[in-house]
Amino acid sequence: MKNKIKVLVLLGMLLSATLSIASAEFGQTAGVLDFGTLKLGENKTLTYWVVNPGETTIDVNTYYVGNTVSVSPANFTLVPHSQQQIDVTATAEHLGSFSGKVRALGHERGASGVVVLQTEMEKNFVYKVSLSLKTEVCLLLIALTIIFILLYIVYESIIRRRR
Amino acid sequence: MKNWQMLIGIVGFVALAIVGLLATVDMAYAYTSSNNVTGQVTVPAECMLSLNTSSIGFGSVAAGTNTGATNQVVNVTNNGNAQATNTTTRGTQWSDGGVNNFVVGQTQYSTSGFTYGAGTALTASDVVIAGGNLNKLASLQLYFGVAVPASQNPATYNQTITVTMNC
Repeated sequence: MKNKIKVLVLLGMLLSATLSIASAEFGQTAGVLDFGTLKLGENKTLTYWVVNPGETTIDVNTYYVGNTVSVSPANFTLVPHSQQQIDVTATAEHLGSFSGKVRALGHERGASGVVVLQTEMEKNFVYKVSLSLKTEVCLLLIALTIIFILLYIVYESIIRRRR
Repeated sequence: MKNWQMLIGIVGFVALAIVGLLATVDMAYAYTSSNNVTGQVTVPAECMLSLNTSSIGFGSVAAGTNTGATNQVVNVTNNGNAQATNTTTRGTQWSDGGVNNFVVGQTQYSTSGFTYGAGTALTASDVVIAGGNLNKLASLQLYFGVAVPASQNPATYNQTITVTMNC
């Protein structure tokens, strides 16, 4: 009789263990991706990690919202207890200050139901774009030339009046 | 051999012996110090979004009715060691996978139990969840309810709800 009870208890434990679905966990390293100030035409890559410490497999899509950056890889799979490096590249195409968010959307593989829940990790990025040194020197030379021409014109007009 | 030559020889020999002894001591010291292994480990700051379930269900809801005070609850936890600065949620429209659908806003949510009508309508774009700045190991509950429009065709409808954490 005692053995039967033990067997039933063990079966019950096994059944409850089978029915308990492991919940998805999805994370990332913290902090803002701050590219600093880029020169026009320059590009810079920063990295961070997304992690799957849980017991389920997660299919991940990465994308950005806000100003343009490129995110790589775009799609990948995180098996249980794994991590993936994400490369975010900012390209300085226009002058100004830029910001946005990089997102990693996780689809728990095999999840089904009336309402499927998805987890998503979001990371902020910022960068500024200034002129390149070559452009700055060119603009400075142009400005100096204009100033020189203006001074020459003023000088000439003064000399003519005196004559 | 003169005495001064012998003296120079002896002094030179003693000097060499002292240099050799010092070198030996140095080597022994170096050997000993190489046994001192120092280790370093960096623990990165991370935030970790954890939901207690991957799906919820409302069962059978008749057209023109809602779930009333019965909510489906999802626990949202930050299992990381860094604070999550912003937690948002959004959803898709309800669809049977074919031509039948109804709008996402028929789903309502709240961070506490509510009777349908008193919750916040879910939207297709992200909305910040009140109290969503979750410290490490902190959690919040999301309560969901739904209303099915009158004259909605009978079918099994599905929706996807996304919870986003920023850090």
